[in-house]
Amino acid sequence: LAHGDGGILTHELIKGVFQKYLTAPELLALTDAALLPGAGTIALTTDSFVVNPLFFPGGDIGKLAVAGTVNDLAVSGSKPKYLTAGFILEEGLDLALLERAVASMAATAESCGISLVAGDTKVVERGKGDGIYINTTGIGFKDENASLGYERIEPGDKILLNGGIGEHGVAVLAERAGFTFDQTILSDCAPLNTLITPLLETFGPAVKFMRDPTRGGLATTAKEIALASGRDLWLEETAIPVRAEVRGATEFLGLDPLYLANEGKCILITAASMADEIVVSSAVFRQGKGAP
Amino acid sequence: MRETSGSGQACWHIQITGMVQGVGFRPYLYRLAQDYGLLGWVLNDGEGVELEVQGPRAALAGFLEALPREKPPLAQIHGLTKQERPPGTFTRFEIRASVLHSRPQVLIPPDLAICPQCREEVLAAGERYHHYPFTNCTYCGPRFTVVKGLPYDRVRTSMAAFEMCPECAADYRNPLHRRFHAQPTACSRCGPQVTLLDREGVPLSGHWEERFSVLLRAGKIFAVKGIGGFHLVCSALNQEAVQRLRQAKKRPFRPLAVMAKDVATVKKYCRVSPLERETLLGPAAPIVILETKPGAVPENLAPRQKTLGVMLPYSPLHILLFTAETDLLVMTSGNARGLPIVKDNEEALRDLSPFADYFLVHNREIVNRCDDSVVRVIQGGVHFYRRSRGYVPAPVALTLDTEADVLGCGGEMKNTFCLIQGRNAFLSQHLGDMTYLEGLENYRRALRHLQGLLQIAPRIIGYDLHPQYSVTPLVRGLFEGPDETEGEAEGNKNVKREGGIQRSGGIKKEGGIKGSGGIKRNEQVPVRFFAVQHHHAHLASAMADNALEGEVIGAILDGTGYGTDGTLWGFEILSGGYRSFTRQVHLAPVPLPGGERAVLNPWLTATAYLLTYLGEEGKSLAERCFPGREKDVAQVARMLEHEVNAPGASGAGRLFDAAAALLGICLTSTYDGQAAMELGELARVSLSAGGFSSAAALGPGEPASDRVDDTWQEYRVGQCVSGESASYPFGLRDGILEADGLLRGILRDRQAGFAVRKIAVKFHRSVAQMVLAGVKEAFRHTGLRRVVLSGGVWQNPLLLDLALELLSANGFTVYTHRSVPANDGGLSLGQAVAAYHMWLSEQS
Ligand SMILES: [Fe+3]
Ligand SMILES: [Mg+2]
Ligand SMILES: [Zn+2]
Ligand SMILES: [Zn+2]
Repeated sequence: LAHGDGGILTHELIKGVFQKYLTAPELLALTDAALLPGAGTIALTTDSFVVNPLFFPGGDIGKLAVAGTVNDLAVSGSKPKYLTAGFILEEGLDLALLERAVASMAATAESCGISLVAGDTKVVERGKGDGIYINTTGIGFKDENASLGYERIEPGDKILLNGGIGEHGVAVLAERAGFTFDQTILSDCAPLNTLITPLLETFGPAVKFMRDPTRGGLATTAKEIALASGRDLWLEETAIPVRAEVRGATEFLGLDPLYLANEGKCILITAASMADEIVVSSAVFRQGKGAP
Repeated sequence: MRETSGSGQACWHIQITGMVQGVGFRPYLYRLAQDYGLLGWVLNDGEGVELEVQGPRAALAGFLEALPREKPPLAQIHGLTKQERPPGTFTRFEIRASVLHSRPQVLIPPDLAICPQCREEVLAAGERYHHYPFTNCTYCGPRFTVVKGLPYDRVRTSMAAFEMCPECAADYRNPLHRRFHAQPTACSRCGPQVTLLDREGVPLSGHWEERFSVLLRAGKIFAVKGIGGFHLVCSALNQEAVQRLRQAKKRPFRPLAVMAKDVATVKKYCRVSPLERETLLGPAAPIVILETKPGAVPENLAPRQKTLGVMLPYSPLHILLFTAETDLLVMTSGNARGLPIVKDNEEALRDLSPFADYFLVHNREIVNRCDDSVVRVIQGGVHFYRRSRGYVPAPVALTLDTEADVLGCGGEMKNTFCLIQGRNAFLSQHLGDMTYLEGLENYRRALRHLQGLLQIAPRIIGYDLHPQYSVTPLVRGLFEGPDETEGEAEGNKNVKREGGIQRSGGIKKEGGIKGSGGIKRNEQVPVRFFAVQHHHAHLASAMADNALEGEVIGAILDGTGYGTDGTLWGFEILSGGYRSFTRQVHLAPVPLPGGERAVLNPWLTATAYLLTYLGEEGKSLAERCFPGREKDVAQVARMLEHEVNAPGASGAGRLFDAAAALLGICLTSTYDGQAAMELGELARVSLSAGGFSSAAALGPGEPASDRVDDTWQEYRVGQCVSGESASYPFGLRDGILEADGLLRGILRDRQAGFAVRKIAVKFHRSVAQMVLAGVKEAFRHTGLRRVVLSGGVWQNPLLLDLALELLSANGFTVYTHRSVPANDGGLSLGQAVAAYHMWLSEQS
């Protein structure tokens, strides 16, 4: 891969790979900064994605780079709107791999309604990167139905979770080390705004708080919530869903699913009186069942 | 009255410190003063016992001379000061009311097993004490488990709830009575009562003793509230009941402790040496690990072991549990795995109902929970496996005299903490597993309680280097925050086991107990924290236990502990003293696949050893050793190759695990240390075959007698048969011991059809040789000749035996633990002493 230096090659890379998939008019304008129409409170977040291997069951670095940032926007009560992407590519990278990752990014962005509007690419020497690193920055607008905050968490509230934990962590680990389990474990990597936006529409202020338990897993995120809110969080171990295949794999590897990364999970805190209603109304939370 | 000659009157004021309250000391002095015709008074104060005696000088001298010589058996005098006073106007010798001091220095006695006189009264016909389960006197009964504060008086115990009947009150006030000022004294008319409940908490009708014995015979399991907590109890001879208890507790193999009716009964089932007999019958009444007579006890009490943990009834209630048919009871602690022993009635009904059919409870509150102690006699010495009831809170005496109070936080498992004040090290009762919130809360309470009792406000705190030990943030929360009373880090309560990297100490705000006047010498000292490496703490613990100064070599054979390089250590030859250490020699680390999971699955550790040392060949060997697990072996290979949750560890415990798995003795472990225990037992029994045959001659039908078992003979190292005397080769280069020779040797011998028990012996010899080689290497660098042995692996009696012999034969002076366990139960003592010396060296 020699696309690093020289304007022409970079241009070809942009045209040949990025513009083939990333077609937002704001991005195609190829200006230095995107001028973004919109009003109200802006939500902004940025995240860098480094994952080994780049492709794993249930996802890849491209999908992860979109979903990760979209989820940060969604759980903070905003509707994801615009995305930027910065790529750091390792010299010698197989172009076909890059293309697959970018295609996956595009498809994920499309599926959750976010527009990729600005981008950047750098190439580093061979051996100085793991193929592809992606940084994404997301902009969203505050969802008028959302009123979230640590201070809203009160004694007696319920903690809801939209499904089994540890799937992303195990999927990546298994793929990297070549573990084979009876059943392939898929990463849960997925954008959450498609779940959260309608939920907020229906329940609005009944939703008091949300976080996505990514790195460090459910336990670490719960601890962070506890520290920030000054409340004790009680997680009933038996009420926390863990898929059987994840349970089996983590047992073998001596890992605790509570501490493994999730990329499509949402912790939702609501008043006890609303918990059942939310669980019943949302197919996804129904799967996850409520943790009292 | 005793005869004394001489004249001249004098008055002496005497102050006595030590274990002088709650052991019959004042009535003793009263009687002694009467004997010598002296006038004056005696009282308990916060420092001990204070008295004034007046009379002829010769009588006074006789009194003072007799005082320490004839003291009550349980009393300990640590200090005695005497001052001449102007004579007073005494008309008699009297016992005066206790004086409260802001800062008690008196020692609280531990709980004492029922004395022979009380035992007699309980069994004899009579009214007040006949079959009364709470009979006690000045020489026996609960102490630590009922005490709320000092001085040790009834009002500050959980017996305050029971008003004495006129007879008890009269005895209590009569200086010549055995129950004079026996704080927990009670009789059937006025004291606590026993109730037998079903699972729903409904009392059973009829007399509890009758109902109990019938249900016991029917194979029922009981939760019995005792002195320091609940036991789960069933007939030890009813295999079905034992099996049911094992299933409920999910303990398929772990040896269960038993209680035997009396010494004669113990001898029916086990071999008992004179020292073991003395220990069983002593006031602490611990569980003593005894060798069983072949075929005498059901296999399922201690599967794969030729030993049994036995104790004698130490409270009247326990005596009443035995019947003519049942002379052996299972008495295992009443708790769910990893949680503290249950002590309250409601708690028992809630938490023990999965295990127990009936609940034998009483209405005397247990203030401090306290598990049974466990000891084993090895090489003519009593070794602690667990130091708790009967010993706590009696202090371990130190050679140093601290300028400020010290706390050693203890470890993550088998936890105890240690408070040091002056020359006394007070180790807590066994607090056990710190994995769960309940364990941590129990720790916090126990620490606050003992601090309050002893008025100790630690300024110097030693904690384990491991960044994830749960007690570290708890103790920091208690002592470094602005409000140290209740404000421990909120967040830490929320999630099971959240560690977080700990800072090493900095200058902190003043902490300690509020009120009570504070402690003068402590006042200027800011709270300081010192991280103490796990095996350095073991070394320091063994040194303090043997009153050693200067520098020694420490052969620390342990499970795992966090090293200064961030890897897990555990087979260490250290040199150093209290303040610092050097890692001279250690076993080469091997990755533990799955970390903690490998500890539970010795076959994983064995596979890791094979893969690490023998590569591809090791892989196929592992597949052959562990048939049916080929796929898992491949996964382990990938974990090692990709370094997925496979931290390097050099623990001696893991080496034993690997050997046990390679020999097919124990592939998965169902309790802590199972593989090492089973391997050790196999080798020990193999070597002591001679000893066994002499025991077999006694036979299980031997008439039970109370005489000393004169057939007892401890096995000797020299008795081994040829072929077992050899050991496997191993490597030692640049301070690193390599165990690949052991592995190859074990596999070769196994293939050659060598008996597993003989390989087990050879393995033990090899480990002892590795220790010797490491110690010699450390000697070469340091010239030190004193060697301390510490770490849980030294609880293996055969290894201890072999190493003692080898090291002594090579000119080393060897010290083993005496007053605290070699395992992590003794860690806190080492942390405290080490932290104190680190602090001292900072001051200069
Ligand atoms: Fe240890
Ligand atoms: Mg993020
Ligand atoms: Zn007594
Ligand atoms: Zn009475």
